[in-house]
Amino acid sequence: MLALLPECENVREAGDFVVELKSVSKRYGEVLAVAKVSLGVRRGELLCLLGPSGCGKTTTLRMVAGFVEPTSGTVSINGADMTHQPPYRRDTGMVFQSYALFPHMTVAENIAFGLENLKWPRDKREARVEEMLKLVELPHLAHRFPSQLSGGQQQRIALARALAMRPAVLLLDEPFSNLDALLRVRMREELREVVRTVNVTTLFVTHDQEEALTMSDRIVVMNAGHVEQVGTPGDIYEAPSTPFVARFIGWCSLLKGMVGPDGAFTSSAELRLTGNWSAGPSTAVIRPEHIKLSADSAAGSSHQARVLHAHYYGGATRLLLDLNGEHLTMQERFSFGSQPKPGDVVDITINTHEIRVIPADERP
Amino acid sequence: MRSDLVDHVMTVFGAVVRGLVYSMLALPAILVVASSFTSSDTMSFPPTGLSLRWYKKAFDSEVFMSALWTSTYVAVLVSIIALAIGFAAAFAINRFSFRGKMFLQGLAFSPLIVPAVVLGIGLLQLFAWLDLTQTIYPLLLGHLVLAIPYVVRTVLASLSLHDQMLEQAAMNLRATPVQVIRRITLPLILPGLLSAAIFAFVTSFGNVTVSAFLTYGGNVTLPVQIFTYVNTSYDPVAAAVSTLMIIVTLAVILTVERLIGAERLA
Amino acid sequence: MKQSVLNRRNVSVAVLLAPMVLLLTCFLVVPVLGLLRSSFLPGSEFLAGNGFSLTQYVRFFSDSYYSSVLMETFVDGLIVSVVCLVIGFPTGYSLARLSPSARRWRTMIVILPLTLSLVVVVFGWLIILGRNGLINSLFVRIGVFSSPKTLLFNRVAVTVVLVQQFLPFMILSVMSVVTQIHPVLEQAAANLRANRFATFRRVIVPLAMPGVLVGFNLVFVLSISAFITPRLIGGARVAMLGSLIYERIMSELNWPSGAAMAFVLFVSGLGFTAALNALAGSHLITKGRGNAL
Ligand SMILES: Nc1ncnc2c1ncn2[C@@H]1O[C@H](COP(=O)(O)OP(=O)(O)OP(=O)(O)O)[C@@H](O)[C@H]1O
Ligand SMILES: [Mg+2]
Repeated sequence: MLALLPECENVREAGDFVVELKSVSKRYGEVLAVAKVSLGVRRGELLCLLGPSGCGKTTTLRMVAGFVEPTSGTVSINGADMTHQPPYRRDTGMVFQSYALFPHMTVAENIAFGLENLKWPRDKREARVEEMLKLVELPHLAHRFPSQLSGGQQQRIALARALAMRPAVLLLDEPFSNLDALLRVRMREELREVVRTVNVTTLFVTHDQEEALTMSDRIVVMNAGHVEQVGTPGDIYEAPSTPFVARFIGWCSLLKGMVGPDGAFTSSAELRLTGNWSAGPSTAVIRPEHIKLSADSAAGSSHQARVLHAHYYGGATRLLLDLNGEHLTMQERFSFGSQPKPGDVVDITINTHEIRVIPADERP
Repeated sequence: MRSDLVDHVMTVFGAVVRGLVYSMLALPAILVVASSFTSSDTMSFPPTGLSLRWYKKAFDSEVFMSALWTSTYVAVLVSIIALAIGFAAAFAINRFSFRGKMFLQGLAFSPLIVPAVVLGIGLLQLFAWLDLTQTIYPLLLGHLVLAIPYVVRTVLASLSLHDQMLEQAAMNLRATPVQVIRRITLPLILPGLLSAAIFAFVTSFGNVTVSAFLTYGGNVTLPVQIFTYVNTSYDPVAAAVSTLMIIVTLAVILTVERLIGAERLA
Repeated sequence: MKQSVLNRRNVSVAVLLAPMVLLLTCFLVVPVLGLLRSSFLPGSEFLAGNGFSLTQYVRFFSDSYYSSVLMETFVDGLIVSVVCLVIGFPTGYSLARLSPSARRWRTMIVILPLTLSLVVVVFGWLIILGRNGLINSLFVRIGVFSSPKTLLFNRVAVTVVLVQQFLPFMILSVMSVVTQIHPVLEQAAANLRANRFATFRRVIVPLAMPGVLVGFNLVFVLSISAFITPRLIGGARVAMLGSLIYERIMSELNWPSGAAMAFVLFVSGLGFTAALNALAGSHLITKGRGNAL
């Protein structure tokens, strides 16, 4: 499970890429928006670009769609080099953040638009529009105008319009950002459902880690224009390959330190965690669920920690602990009234089998 | 491949057309300025020699100078009065809801749809009937009518642009309505008001299509004077005087561009 | 209490609006109505004249000269509007899509002829087209013409000058409407396999239609009522309704006849606008219900 570097392995093994970026960069004047990004989207998978705001996700997606021309590198779709092809010659279907439905066309006309440009005959077009409307469960809205639809409906029509052409790859740029929280969760499931049904290869952009973790087959974590890690949601969460990924996905405490010749990790504040890691300067990633309160202080790997803050989250309480000067976060459910208060001392065990230690030089 | 060709044709056509359009739009004014410095006795292009003699002649000319004075005088009066009238109306339209609002807004913009000849002759007839043709009133009132739509539109735009929340905040801070207007609204829409006044100024200063019917007696505006002059003779004095008008207009455009951005001049 | 507040409000609205209403009633509505009245006078006198007849209109429409001038004026107005549309659309479109800094000086060039007095612009054209003007000296020098030609005093020259004068209206109308069409719609079209022409035809043009109509109407109405340009550029040889009216009133002092012609002009302009809007409107009502994003 800890056999790492999934990105290299995956790239080597799979081979059947619908979209492939090779060392793609985009420079806007001084800003290097995307820096030497290489990635491949496998046939049928849902790949998610995840990263903080401004890290170059949209730029990357738009280079696939053809709205942005890379400064260097190549973009290929289904094996054909598309780097300098205009958008309308690329086999992609895009759902825009604002949906970009044509306000002067009905829902049906919007969906048929791409098919007309592909010169589909009329009867096939009509059948396809109907099929698409059924797929997104809105057949009764065919003759409405976009302004007469709710946000969620517009979103589904935009999806239907993009899928109608049977594109090689479906591109989505934060498609749920204009929806309220509840609808967002529902649309997420619906999109997943639709994508499964038609089995379309999908490249999806989001800065919402929950969205990425729940929807994707694989996730590409980006930071400041480059790829930090590529992997399944499980890989990304359980085995982050850089401290950035660890901090960006989920809650964690990062301890800087050293792995000695015996394979044990010693933090700079002398907190020792036994294990079998490779020697050298490293960072330990400790997630709240790796820490448990221990019943008695006798157990071997147990530590005494002082509570700095206790935040009640409804159900569970999140504790910020001080352990020999290192700050750790843990989460625990306490029975009513028995919550520790700041200043209390608690006994904890750290599950060293589950924590991840990242060698400092691993980052490219 | 065919679509490549279409794209290419569209790109080339667009570039050619834009080049043509911008040069066509700028050329007349540039040529007027260039030929005003000629030293020859007749208009010709390219101009021969370089002199300021036509400017001297223009400044010495009684008719042109009195026309320049009339134009300026009328334009200044028009901008002040049109601003007052137009601001009041725009304020009412923007801040109050009342019956017939759409109608009033339509009325404010109606001078734009009446052809200049119709308005010109109509006013001429009215003033002839009132026996006021020899006075400055026909010009003044005619230009006021022409300026109203521009003033109302500019003031409406700047009123609706600024945040009424600020006024509510001021009222919450116990400012009286008059104080709110004086200390919050006016300062905020000042650029818009200035532009509106400038609009009224250029509308009046440059107008010839209505003025041509209203200039009787001693009250001839500069554009009308140029019109009559060019109608009969074709010498560089007209170029010199026209250059003066170009300078005034350019100064005005630059000022508005500074104040609110030139696009709003349209 | 509530009543008095309401009353005070009504009074303020009335006070604020009164000056404008008064001004426009007395010096726009009344003159136009007065002109309408004069157009029904039988003779050629207006202050002294009285009576009510359709003489002027009958004379106008029965004289083939006038109907041909009216026809030519309309045809000219249509040509000017169409040319303005064809060359103004790409310009207005590109202006709308430019960055604000690049837009700046271009906008100034577009606005200059609009704010500059019409006579100055026309005078500039006299320098371009005159016997010793720019084009003649240029073409003679490069050998296209053997000797200077008369380029003024013909309908083509008038049309060209009218196009230049009214082009800014078209450009600005198109620009303002295109600014409201979000560029993402064009990208969506491109993503849906529409090339530039298809995007233009199926997305830009329908959405820009309201602005195009405004510009087209404006240019048409301004062109058919032009009289300065026809007089200075076209001379006596090019008859347009506007210059005929000016002539009739200012030289011949025949008021009722001039008034009738002015009304023919006014009403036909309004009629054209209404017809165009109705034509486009029936299309727009079904198609244009949305906002342009
Ligand atoms: N047209 C442009 N001109 C100049 N800089 C740009 C342009 N587009 C993007 N950038 C810059 O490139 C970087 C990456 O932008 P991008 O839109 O790809 O980010 P993003 O990851 O999609 O962010 P967000 O999550 O906020 O949408 C940013 O620093 C941005 O400022
Ligand atoms: Mg983005």
